[in-house]
Amino acid sequence: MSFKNILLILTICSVTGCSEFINGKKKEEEVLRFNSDRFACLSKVPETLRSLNSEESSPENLEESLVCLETSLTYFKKRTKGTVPDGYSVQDIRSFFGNYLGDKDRVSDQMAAQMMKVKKALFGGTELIIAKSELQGLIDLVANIRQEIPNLKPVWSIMLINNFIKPDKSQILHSHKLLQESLTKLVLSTNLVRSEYSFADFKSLMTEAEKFVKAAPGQSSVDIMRWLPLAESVKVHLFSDRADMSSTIKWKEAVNMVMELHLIFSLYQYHYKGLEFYSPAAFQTGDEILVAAISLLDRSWWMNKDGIPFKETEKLLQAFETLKIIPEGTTAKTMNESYQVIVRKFLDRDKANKAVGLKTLAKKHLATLKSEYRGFKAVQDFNNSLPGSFTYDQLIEILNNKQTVQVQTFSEISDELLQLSWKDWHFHLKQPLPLLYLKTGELVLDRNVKASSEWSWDALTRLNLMKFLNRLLMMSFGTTRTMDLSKEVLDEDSMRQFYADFWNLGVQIKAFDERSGNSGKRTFFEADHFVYAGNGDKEVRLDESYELVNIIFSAGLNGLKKIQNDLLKSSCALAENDDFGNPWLDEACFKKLLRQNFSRYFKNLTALDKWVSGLNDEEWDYYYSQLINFARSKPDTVGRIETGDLRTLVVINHYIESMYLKIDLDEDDKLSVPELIDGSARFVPFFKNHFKLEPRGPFLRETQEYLIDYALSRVFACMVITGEMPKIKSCTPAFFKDAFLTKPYSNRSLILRTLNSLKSSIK
Amino acid sequence: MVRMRGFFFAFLLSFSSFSWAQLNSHLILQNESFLSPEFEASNQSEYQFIGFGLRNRLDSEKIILDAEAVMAVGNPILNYIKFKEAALIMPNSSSETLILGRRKVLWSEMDEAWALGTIEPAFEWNPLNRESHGLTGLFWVTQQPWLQLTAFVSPVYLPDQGPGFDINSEGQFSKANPWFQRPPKTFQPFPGSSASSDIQYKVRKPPESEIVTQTSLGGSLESEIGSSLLLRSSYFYKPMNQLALAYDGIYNTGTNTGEVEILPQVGHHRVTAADLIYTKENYRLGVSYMKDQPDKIEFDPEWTAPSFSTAQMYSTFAQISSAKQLLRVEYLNINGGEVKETGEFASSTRAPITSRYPFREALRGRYEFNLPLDRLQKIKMNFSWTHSKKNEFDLVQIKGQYQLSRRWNTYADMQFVKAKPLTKENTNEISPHENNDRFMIGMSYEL
Repeated sequence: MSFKNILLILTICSVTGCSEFINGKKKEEEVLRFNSDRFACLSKVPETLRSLNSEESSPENLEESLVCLETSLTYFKKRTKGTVPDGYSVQDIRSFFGNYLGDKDRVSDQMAAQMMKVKKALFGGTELIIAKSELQGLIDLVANIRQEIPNLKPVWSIMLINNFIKPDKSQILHSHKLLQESLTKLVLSTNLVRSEYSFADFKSLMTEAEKFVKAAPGQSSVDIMRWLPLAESVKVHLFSDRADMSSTIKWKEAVNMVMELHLIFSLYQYHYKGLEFYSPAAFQTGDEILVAAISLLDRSWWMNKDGIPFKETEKLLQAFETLKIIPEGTTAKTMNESYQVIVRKFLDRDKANKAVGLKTLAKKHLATLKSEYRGFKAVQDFNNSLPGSFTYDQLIEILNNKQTVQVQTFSEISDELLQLSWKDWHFHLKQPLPLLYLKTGELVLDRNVKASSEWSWDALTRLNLMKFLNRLLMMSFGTTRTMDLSKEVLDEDSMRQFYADFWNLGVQIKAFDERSGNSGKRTFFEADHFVYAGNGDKEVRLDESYELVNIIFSAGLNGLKKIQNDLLKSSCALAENDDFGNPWLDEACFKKLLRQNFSRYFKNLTALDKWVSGLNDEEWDYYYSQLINFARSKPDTVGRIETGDLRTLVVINHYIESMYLKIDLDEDDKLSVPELIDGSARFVPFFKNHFKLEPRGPFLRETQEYLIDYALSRVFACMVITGEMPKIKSCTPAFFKDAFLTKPYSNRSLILRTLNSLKSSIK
Repeated sequence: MVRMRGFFFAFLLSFSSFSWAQLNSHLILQNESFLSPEFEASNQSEYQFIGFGLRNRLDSEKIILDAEAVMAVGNPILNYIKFKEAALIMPNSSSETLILGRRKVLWSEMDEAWALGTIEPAFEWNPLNRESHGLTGLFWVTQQPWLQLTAFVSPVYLPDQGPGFDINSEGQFSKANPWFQRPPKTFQPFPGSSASSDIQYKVRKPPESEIVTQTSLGGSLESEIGSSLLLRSSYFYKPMNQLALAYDGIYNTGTNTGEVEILPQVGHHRVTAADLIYTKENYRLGVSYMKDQPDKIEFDPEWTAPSFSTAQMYSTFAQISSAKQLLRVEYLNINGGEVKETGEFASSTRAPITSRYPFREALRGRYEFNLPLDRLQKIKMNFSWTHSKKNEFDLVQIKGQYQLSRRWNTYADMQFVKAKPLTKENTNEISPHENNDRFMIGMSYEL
């Protein structure tokens, strides 16, 4: 081979095949990585934590996540270092997260500072560095949590209050005990006991955490932020705003109190929620929940110091309002106003200052509440002890045979007040015409109520609740401020004050008609005159007040709601809403449906129902015209019916039946002149006052008094018989007929006509 | 290191002065260019070297020396001194010789031909141009008419001689030596992290005495059967010529850097080798077998460390030669012998940073010729093409030498590589240098 040939080969190689060799590919950069398997599990951790709130949660999943967390943290500790010896500075932590997340400003200075505060609180040290030993503290805490899981495994679902199980109460208590032990152990394993970490710090941390999360693309706010104000308020209520958490004992106590909240919520969730309100089970669990809640409040650190300030409770209510867990339409402000009224007037029994200037809920208030609850409980225990079915006579016999009343709940409270409550119960049940509720919740106004087969646990429980509300009313607004209601009375001012105090709340829950202003005077008049026990003596006593409360709740709220719901389901609803936010009703449609369903709507008013069913079309039209004329709040709304009209219609029917029962002595369902003269007594003082009829001069005052009463009773009878304002022209024929011809009678239509006449005349 | 190099230069020059009669010395001057447009192994693509070599020509001399010292102009990291052989021959009798020092012995045809570095250490200053160097120790050779026995013992261990490297003040391997395969420079501390960090390396050097003081034992038996057949078998228990590199790292959260430490360690292995070679006139055929059984090396379990498995190696060759030409085709296959890293940084995709064999399978064709032009001038050429199917590379090497006179020589050397990237499954020492296609030209002057 010649040299030329070799050069030729080299040349060919250079220009052809070798280019494939020379033009190589650029090398890819190699990367050194930590073993990613260690962290693969971390991606599941957030999901596991989120699932704690759902039925998919399992101890195994959490255990797995905690193992992962523990391993990852251990790995982090081993495989990283900071710029300070054996630890990390705040800047190191910021830098780490910044680099990890690819955004150097993602962890703000404030966020880092808050993280360091938590670190200090849990594991000690300073807020400037995290020592590796402190990081080990976190790892140990995670390990401790993991070690607690096997203990909690048997009660896992109960502990997380999962809905798919139905544990009995002993299981709930067992779960509560285990959780309490574990939590105490975990809290005491940290440095919290010695820390000065405050809720304000926690709030700041959460605020920064929210900014941190929001900074991530596509992330919304942290849900916990919504609950922070509530959590803070609950914390303040339990532990005060400057809680002394400087000892192990205090921390144990705090954990116990938090766990009691958990227990209360568990009981509510498992054994109360979804139950029919008027059921023995609901009342039993309700009792347990209430007692636990009151006991918890009683042990509140603030309660044991100065009492819980109203301003803090307002904050709690504001938190409720923000979370929309107060009744629809109400505001925290009005709830707080009402709360303060209840504390000042009902719970504070200090006669001297009437709680003026009171700013806290104190121990003594809680004592009143306990005492009243014991009164309620005594009656409810009695109700619960009754057989499944019983008659009124059997009920009274059992009641009479019950010699002593004892209540174990809040046994530290004196039995003296318990006896007063028990006395009220006797009083109410032994009325000539005792009140009774149907199982469906309507108040029975029937002459033969004692023979009714409707006497039941439900009825007595409703009456017990009404008794409690009546005590609240009378004790709060009574003129003598005694707890012995047999000696207490309400006057017109009391009722005005009641309306004034609860005005905003009443308007918001649409119990009061804002357009009619303070209805105290009218309600007082109704209680004094229209209820069965009414006597027109210008004082509302226990029986009158009790009946009033029952009629207002049964008819004005409960009964109205049922009828209104029924009508709204029909085609009567119009597009426009009334002042109460409910649709107006077409009157023609309403009138038709009212007649069709009268027996259903007023099944509790048996005599009225029977009477209406006997009306012919003309009589019905007349009755309806009088009824709606009285009920209508605005004359210019003919053709349409609104909520206020309907409420008055329902209530007036109840009042008329109450009066009918009282006046119709011969029980013939019509009112004769003598019956009306007899029954006029309750109205005579009103007419005297209205027409300013008083004895004049010093002579024969008694005779003058008698003559006025006599004349007014006849005037009343004439008015109800004729349905018009009394005139000689109309009264003379009426009395003549009564004496010598066919006796005239009044009926419900005429009573309504009378009321309409009075209404226009008084106006 | 620099001091040591100065010492060796002086040592070499001293040979040239006192044994001038037995030794040939030469000066070299050469230029090396990297041709690939994608060359990025170092900051410059052209290097100049000045060197000095010493070699004695005859094995009968009492001192055997084949050494070279080369300095890269302005780039000291590429300087090297190599002692292929440096030994004292001490004949005991006509059939028995003691040799003390570094001496090349043909222990295994395969190890020698492929410069695997399994028995004898390899000089890998340029990993594409590997060559075997002698073991260092005491050799005892006894020769009978049909048998030659060579025994070797040494308390000293000199491993493979790889390319020089340097770690700069920032802890990063400098980009100065194109033949040095730099370990990863990017660190990704945690999965999912969008940012990556630089790595600061630190080599934790064990005391040199700890590295060097290692015992080697071995020997070979060579027997001629008839006039054509040669049987050779060898056995060694000695340190592996490749250092096992363990490494460990930590992430500095404050500075956002990975701090990685590398710890070289010496492991031992047992090597059993056998050759069967048939020679007939101009033909030479042979098969070789070698079994490499590494001992387990104990590392700190926290470190990422290599583990080695036993390798069974086979090679065969056929060669035809004349006074002026040589044609040789040979094949190598290595089964087993994988290097597996275990530890925190072990990767399922990245190749380990420690390697044992230059490649695992290859077919090579080599052609040499010697073309005298006149009494003094001649041309020598050497072409070789190495192809590996398993390791997916092709390596073409062309060497040429033009002797101008008794003293002056010019030479050129070209290497072209085509290779697929390294993967965990495909580990070899050729692929990293895919873009190190090189052309070298030089001249030497015989003193």
